[in-house]
Amino acid sequence: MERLKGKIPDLVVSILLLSIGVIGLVMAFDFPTKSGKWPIIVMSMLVFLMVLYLASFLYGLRPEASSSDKPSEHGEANKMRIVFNIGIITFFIILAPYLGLFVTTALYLFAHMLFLGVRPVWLVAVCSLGSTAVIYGFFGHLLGVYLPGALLF
Amino acid sequence: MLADILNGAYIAFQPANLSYAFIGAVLGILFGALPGVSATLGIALLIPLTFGMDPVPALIFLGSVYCGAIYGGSISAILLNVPGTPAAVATMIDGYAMTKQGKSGLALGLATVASLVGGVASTVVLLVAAPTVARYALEIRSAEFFWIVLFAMSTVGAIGEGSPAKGLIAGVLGLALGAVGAHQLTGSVRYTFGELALYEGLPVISALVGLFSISQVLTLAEGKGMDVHVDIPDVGKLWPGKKLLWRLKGHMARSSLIGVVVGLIPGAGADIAAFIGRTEAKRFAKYPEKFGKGSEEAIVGAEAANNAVVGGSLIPMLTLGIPGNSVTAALLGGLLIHGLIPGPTLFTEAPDVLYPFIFSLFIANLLFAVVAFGGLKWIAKIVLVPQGVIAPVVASLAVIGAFSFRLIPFDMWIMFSMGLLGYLLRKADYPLAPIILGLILGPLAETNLDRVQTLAGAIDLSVMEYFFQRWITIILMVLTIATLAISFLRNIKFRKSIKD
Repeated sequence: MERLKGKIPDLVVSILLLSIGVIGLVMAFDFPTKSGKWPIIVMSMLVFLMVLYLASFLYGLRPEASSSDKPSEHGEANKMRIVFNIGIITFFIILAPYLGLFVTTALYLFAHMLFLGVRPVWLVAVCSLGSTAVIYGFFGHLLGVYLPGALLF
Repeated sequence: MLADILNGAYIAFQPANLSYAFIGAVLGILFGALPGVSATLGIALLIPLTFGMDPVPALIFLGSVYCGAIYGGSISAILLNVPGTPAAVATMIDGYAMTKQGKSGLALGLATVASLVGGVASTVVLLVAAPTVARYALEIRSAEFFWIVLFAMSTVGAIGEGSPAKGLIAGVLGLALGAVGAHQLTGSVRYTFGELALYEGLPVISALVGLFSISQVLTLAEGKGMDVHVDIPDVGKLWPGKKLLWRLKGHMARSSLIGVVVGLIPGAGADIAAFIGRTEAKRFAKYPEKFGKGSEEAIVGAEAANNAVVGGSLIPMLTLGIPGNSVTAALLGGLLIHGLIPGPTLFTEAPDVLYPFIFSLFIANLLFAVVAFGGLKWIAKIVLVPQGVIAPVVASLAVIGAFSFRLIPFDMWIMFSMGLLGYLLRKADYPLAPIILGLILGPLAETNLDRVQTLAGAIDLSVMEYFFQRWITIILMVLTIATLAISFLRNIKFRKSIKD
């Protein structure tokens, strides 16, 4: 486990990409011959490259090899913080079709800026309302971009 | 052709188009100056804002953003030692050294003039070379086109940033994602899981926006919200003086040429050009010992080269439909949503859109210089905006952009999923640009392979035998294999360098 320190994102991504490749390849064999050829070629390439990469990754975990390996450049990010960030954006996307993009954007900006530690609160309110107004006023009216509403607004 | 060029100039200089170029250049500078917001991200976020525009102003706007953003990266690099874009890292070394010596105005002035020279020079090359390349490109057949795409993808691994193996894997992942949707010839659906929104394939705009914006938002959100540089130094006078500029003219010319050539190569972007430009400037410098300690030649060498990439990189994109880097891939997305299919026929089918776009690049370069010399001290304040504000604003623009494209809520989820994938890939040090290149080029490669198969079948040849019918195809095959071999060797070297 010690040897994997700092390499977990690499391992997770490798397994994820290998899985995408394998599932994609299996599915591709069910496609009609003409339309399945290209997916088979590409998914095979992905599987082949990922197998090679994983093999070299595991080879690099040998005690003599890993002793001199550099730790991950990114270090350990605050995982909970990232989960919350993902959660806030998820809520934004879920609510947008129901509350309307205008209201949801303002609420989302307020919540996310607050979560990210922007203070004081009045500044967060000004920033979130100001940004929403700029997006809708400047782009929606001045540049003529159609910004859709939703059920409520 | 001359009539098309003159008409293009006339359209580009219309007041409305000039104002779009101005807004684009200013927004580009602001995006470029903001650390963590790259030119690609800027264009990706702003493409949805062009949905309601006509193609000409839309492309003028996006082209101006591109020019402005590449230049804007140097502002935070010089003032704060934080590169606004990867392309500004080479400028940062000597630019910040000059700032510490109280010469930030001079450094910014040199960066502005060099960027202007590089940008204008590369646009001249684009204007002259692109129609000629397009004429020859009309002769390209499906077999060659297929191998051009494969060659472009292979160079991403050989030349691109970071681990070559990861570059190649990212490219193949992009090709795999490009296989989603209905097959172009038979119409049979693949990997859609019954979702109608995926019938036409993974929407490039949503994927692009998600991949570059949400992944960046999550990266920015790792830090504390109010992370901000407390103060920026006084910029002072920007104009470097005619005498100094005359002394540096050779560096600007050489770096402009380097930028154009690097821009032509798929996988190589403004960051690579800037470093080559800086290195070459050192080789020919009058005071090479000053490099790293605040050299004017270094700043000029890096900045002329990175801005000259703009014109160079647009040549393969406009004439062949092959984007060489992530920014031109984003721009290509902008062209596609306005119904313009890049390729050799674009110059004959839509000269009234294309030439104004090329001319707008001249205008954008002039405008960013005017904006810089007129109000850089105010624009530079943008770097004071905390990341806690930037990240949510970028995310909201991404969500709105994804929704606005087709007004399908599912597109927001595609964008978000691509963002999460992009974030994971970033954490594992995978480059993101090859994914977008693969996503765009994958369907092109498949269509051409299908055509080759049909043509080969018609004359009782196998696909491989058909490939060996023309020497251009053979050369492209050899080049592709050679670049893959280079990637392999680079990967061994890369792993060794990490271990050391």
